[in-house]
Amino acid sequence: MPWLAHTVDVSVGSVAKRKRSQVDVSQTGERLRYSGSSLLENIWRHICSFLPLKDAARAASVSQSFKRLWRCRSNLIFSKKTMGYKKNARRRRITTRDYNSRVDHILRNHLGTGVKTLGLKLYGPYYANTGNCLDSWLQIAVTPGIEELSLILSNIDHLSNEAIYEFPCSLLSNGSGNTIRELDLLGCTFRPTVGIGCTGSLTSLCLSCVNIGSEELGFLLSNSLALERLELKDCSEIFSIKIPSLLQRLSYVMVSGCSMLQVIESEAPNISSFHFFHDDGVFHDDDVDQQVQLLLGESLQMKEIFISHSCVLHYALAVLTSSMPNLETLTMHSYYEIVSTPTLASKFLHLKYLNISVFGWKFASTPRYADYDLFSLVSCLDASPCLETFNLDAPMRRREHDSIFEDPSSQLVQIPGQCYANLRHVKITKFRSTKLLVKLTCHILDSTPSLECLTLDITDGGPTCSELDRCFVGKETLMEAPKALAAIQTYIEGKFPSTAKLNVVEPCSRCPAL
Amino acid sequence: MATREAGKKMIMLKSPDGMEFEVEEAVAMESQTIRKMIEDDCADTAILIPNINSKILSRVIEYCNKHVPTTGATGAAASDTVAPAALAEDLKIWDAEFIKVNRATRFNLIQAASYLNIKGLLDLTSQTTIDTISDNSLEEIRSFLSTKNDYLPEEEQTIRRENQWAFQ
Repeated sequence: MPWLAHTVDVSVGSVAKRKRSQVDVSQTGERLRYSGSSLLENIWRHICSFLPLKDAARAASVSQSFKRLWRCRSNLIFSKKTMGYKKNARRRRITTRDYNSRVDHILRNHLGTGVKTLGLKLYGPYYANTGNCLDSWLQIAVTPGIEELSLILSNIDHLSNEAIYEFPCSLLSNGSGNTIRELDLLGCTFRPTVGIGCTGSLTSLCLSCVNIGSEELGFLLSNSLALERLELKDCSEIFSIKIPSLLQRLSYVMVSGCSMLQVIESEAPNISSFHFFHDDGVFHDDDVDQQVQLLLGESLQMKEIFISHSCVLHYALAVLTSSMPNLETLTMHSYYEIVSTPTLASKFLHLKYLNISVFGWKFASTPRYADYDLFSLVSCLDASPCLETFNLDAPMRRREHDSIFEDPSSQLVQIPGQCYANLRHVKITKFRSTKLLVKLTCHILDSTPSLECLTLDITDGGPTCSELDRCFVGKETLMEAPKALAAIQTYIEGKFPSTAKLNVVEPCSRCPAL
Repeated sequence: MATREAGKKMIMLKSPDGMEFEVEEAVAMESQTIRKMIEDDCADTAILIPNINSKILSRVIEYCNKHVPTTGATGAAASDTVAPAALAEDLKIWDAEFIKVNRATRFNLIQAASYLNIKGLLDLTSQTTIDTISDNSLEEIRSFLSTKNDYLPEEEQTIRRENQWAFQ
């Protein structure tokens, strides 16, 4: 019988020829007395690692053992909050100075103790000596054995040309790069070179407002073969992101607001979740062509995609259907959608959740194209035979003469499309009495035999007074509401199946319009 | 590899007071310590768990039974019909009930969780101690932990001064 012994070496048993299991249950740690029993120091270390920083510092006064636990605490998360500062705008400069000196003191007392997790939030403004300070703190904490590093330089004006802190890459070459698992940088410059060395344990990389070039990012990625999560936010020097095929474990990619970005090219085979927010902030018609190229290749593992970009619907139908056949959740926020009748390359055979928000159609003001936007949406449904849930945040802008009441016969026009056999939940937000929405709703009712619930939200879908102080409903929405209700009563209730539930969300009567 | 093929392979756990517990391998493997033994092929008949009496061991097994991923042991159907959020909520309520024990038992559970390396159980059992240290004065902490102040007066002053900020 194997013996799970209370010593380092276990499995001393009758089956002597078997390989011995080296389970590290070393109990040489010092004992702390507790209710007649004893807790080993490593259990205490575990418990104390969950204590907030401030409580752990206070508990150091309990006894010598607690002081030792505090001195060799391996996770240090510094922020004004963890250090117990109250918010006081007038004294900000003083508290920042005070905070810096406390951090300095604690870190110097931790020299050589083997910090595993360092979270360091620094409050601006950034002076030349701030850099020296930071360098010395990082030198204390970032040593081989470090597992998580988060460096946040807040309150620093990244748009100004003032110098910002340059993260010392040499720290990662001294062996720390081998053990670091999570790296999170905000508001600094980071210039990995070809000689950065191995960052083979890095599983999560998050860079926000970081000055890093496309090539430098490339050096880092090609050395981080264990990477599982990659997040890049507002890194304005990056114009191209290339993810090599060697990153076999990479499963989550999030890119947001990198304003110079032109192309994302991924060869990593196992990405299952891809989030991309391209927020160029300008809604000029001329800029429509400034599209980011997404070269995601054959992505058989891809399960979930979120894209916010111009013309996404068009892109999704033309490209994603053929390259990501296993997609299950697709969320698209689109603006300047090209309205045309797209030809489907193939289908999303596994898509279950489809969420679409459209903020504006290109050419949509021309009556000639008026139906094409509807066809674009129907094409998305047609491309997803297994769809279960469909959420649409409909276009807000009203065109002239687009009310269903002005052309009631148009709702009778049958839209060619197929049967949505698995669709059960449909929600349309910003429902108005427009031809587009009434016709789309009728089409869904006609083609969805197993519908369980249809929600028509005639508000703007914003926060309500049950969540915030008041509802956020525009004046126009309130004026439109009776027409929207009338359209539902006239055209939808009549053909609504008895087996399904119709849920109409109306503006709250208590809150005034904005 | 043996662990993969055997969907419902049973493992015998023995407490030092002679009680035997037959548990599904998947349940036993919630303990990283036992998992390592099984993977290293050291667990063909029974595993003796020293220093954890049958009362504590049965509670540990109860915890592992509840927390083993539903797909393996208790059938895949459950996870298909119940939303993950609802499952997590259910587990949270169950945990809160589970940890309503006296200090001595909780203390023994901490030791068992640490020894058997069951992270979820260790976190759960540690939480009360963490809350006590966070919410009470130094004297109250010492009395709760039956620990005495072993500082010399000047030492205590020094450490107190050093961490004065934490008392504000």
